[in-house]
Amino acid sequence: MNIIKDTMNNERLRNENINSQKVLNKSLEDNVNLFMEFFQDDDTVSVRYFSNQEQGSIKFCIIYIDGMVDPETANRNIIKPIIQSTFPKNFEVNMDVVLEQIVSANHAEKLCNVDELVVRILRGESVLLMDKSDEAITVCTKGWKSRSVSEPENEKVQRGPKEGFVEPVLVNLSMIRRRLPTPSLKFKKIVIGVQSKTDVYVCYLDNIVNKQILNELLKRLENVSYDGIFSSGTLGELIEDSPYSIFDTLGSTERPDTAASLLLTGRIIVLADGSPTALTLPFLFEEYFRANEDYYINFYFSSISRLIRILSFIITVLAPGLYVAILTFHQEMVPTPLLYSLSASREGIPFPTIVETLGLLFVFEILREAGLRITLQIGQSISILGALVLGTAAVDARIVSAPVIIVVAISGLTGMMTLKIKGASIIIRLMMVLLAGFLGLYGMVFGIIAIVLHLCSLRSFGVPYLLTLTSLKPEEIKDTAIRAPIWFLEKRINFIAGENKEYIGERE
Amino acid sequence: MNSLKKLLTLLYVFLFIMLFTACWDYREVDRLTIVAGIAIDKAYDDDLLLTFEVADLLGVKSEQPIKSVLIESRGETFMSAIRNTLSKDNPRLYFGHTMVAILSREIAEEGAMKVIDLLLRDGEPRLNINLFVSEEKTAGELFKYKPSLTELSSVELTNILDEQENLAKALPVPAYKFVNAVTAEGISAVMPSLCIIENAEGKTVKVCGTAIFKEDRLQGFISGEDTFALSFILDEVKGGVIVAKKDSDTGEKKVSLEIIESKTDIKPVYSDDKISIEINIDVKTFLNENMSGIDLKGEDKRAELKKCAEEQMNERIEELIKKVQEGYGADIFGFGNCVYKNIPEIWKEKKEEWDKIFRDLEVTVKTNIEIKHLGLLSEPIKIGD
Repeated sequence: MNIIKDTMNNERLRNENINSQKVLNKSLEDNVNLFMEFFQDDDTVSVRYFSNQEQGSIKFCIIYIDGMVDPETANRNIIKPIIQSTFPKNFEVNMDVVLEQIVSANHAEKLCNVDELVVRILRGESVLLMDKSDEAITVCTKGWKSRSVSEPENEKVQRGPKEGFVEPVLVNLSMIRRRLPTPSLKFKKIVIGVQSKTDVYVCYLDNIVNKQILNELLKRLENVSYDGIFSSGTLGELIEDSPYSIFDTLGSTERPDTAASLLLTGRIIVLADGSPTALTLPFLFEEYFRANEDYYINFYFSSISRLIRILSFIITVLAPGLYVAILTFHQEMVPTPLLYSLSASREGIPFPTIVETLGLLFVFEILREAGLRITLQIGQSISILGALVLGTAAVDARIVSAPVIIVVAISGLTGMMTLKIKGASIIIRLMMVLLAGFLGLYGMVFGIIAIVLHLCSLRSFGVPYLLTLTSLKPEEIKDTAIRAPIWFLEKRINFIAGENKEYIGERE
Repeated sequence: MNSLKKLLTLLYVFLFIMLFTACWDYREVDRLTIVAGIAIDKAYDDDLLLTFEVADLLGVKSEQPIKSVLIESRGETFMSAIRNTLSKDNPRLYFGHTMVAILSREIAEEGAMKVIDLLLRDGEPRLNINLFVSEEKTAGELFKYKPSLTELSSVELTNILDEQENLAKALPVPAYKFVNAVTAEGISAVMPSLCIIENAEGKTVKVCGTAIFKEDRLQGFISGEDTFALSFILDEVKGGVIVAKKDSDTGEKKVSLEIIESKTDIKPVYSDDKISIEINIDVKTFLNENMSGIDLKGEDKRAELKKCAEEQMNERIEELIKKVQEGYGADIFGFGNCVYKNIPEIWKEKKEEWDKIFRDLEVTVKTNIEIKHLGLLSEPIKIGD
């Protein structure tokens, strides 16, 4: 299908001009009509005719879409110069003169392909037409309201920069550029989306990136054919290594500082216009348990936080399964007094343990989903309703036993610690409960083996998913479950970085 | 086609994994009747009469303690007695958490292995079930006297054994240890014995001594004080109190020494075709209580006390050995085992006649009691006028 490639590439543009049938002609009226054909039934398109105050015979016309352009810029850079300036004495109908001497915008271009011009108008540029000229000038007057830069909700830090990505991609690029003012930082633009024509930027550090990974990424991006890319998540699903896996083989971040530090490791960042989430790749399993704050605080504390995150992932995935397995198959494993109290609390409960556990897990997911999609104020009352009313009432009515509520609550709470892996952990947790219900711990062991095997088989852009967890090389395991002090992290991971494998070797 | 084959293979693998495995059965925990203790008696017609102490969990709220319920059942064998409970209104008994098994005197005299066999053979009961012998008429009646602190007698009995590391007046004997002792060469088995005593609030059950077995048959009982001496010989002392008595002009004076650490070394000596045993006991203690009023600050006074305590200890141990040699002839101290381990060639010769040799075996006991410190008071409290 038709993918509009790099429009800044002049050579390709000229080819398209030749191929296109619709070209401007010398009549202003005809040209305007040509555009209006495209914008039939679209009342946001504005057309304004005007001329120079001295040479009124030469008509000009500007076409743009209301709301997409900044009126101030259009007035100051196009309309005002043309009306007020003194035209050269020997002014003939020549767009080059207008472009070079009159229009005062910093970003303007001369084009004659109508299709291309229409795309430019749709993207917020203004097109200036002149009577008796078969060329047009498109001026960048983009200007629409967007969210201001704020701290991302999902990746909060206590200590560290509070800036987060926003929707306009150029703002995001500037945030990365400000952190890495080096000419080796490259932003490669690819336009993806048949309808959305989304600008997608691939950012990398030229002197560190692994060229094989970069080429593979560019190849995959060029092969993408999809109607609309509105979030980098959609794009991620289209270029992932193992799209059927429950684990992500692409990372994501909303923080420019995280993005910049990942660039320094040799990773590649993909930013899509209109999406405040950047994709990072290659992505390793262990990165689920990282937070950028780990590098801003004392390494003892960040190591503890990481260990807690890993532990809580294990708990959230295994706790309900372990409860079911031990309570229904391996009663001899429970300490005697605990068994008495568990047995007493299950007295009179009508459902088998596994049904009870599955039911409560389901209720917990409902509460979570309900709390996620509604406003903050009602969200609190949902949790009160869910936790207090449902929980205590269910126990009092002897519909569920109290230990199950504790186990599910612990599982849910620890799940909140590693939000990025939430999707996978819900599925694994469910699988573990079912296996535990059928086969006890024996079944759970098989489930764990299956997951580990699956994780071992995954790759992210050719890099083994468990690289840092199965390695014995010091440079690959220094920054995993425990973050070593910054000065120990002197080498980049071999697989990920292509060149310049030492962090501080270049400095002397 | 290929992918279908793959899928089928995968299905087979999962089927095998799921179905062709060892025992797996799904039991709801509230359907189990958790047996805490078993008492084994003999019914009048040679059947076994079992009394199970189970925890009654029906309608238990978190604030209330667990109550115990006794279930009685009869059968020709242990297993049939267990299964016969099903014909009453009890759900299946669960032995995974059984803590104690009490044998009646009659059963123990006939041979304990007969009934212990099931405990070891079956998958559910643990190998570390604590075994007891009842000194009373039956074993089942012991469950009828409620312990003073906990609700379940079995829990109380287990707690009593756990606390022995501060007392050393009873020897915990888990089922596996009993069987080891019965099957090993040159050692006879023991079990703690239970009796009913008068407490401040009615009657209660107490561990009152040790039952002595020969092979697996009960021979008799020794008292708790004797068990204390026995613990020293068997090197099972982890704590406890040695009371040293000192005679003086004003009557008997007593001092308590708390044991920190104790180590026993048994050595067989073979000379002139005669086996004798040397027991060396090293005890580290500290002075815990001084009822005597003797000022122990001086080196000589302490040496005097030490000598006194050592002599009394030797006396107690020798007395016990003599009692067992003459009264029961069962080598519960494992002297034969010691010979077997240290001089096996002699053991081979003497194995057959060991019972006879044991009866007049010469045993020398050497005790070394070290007094590490005198507690927080270095001098006795002087009573002012």
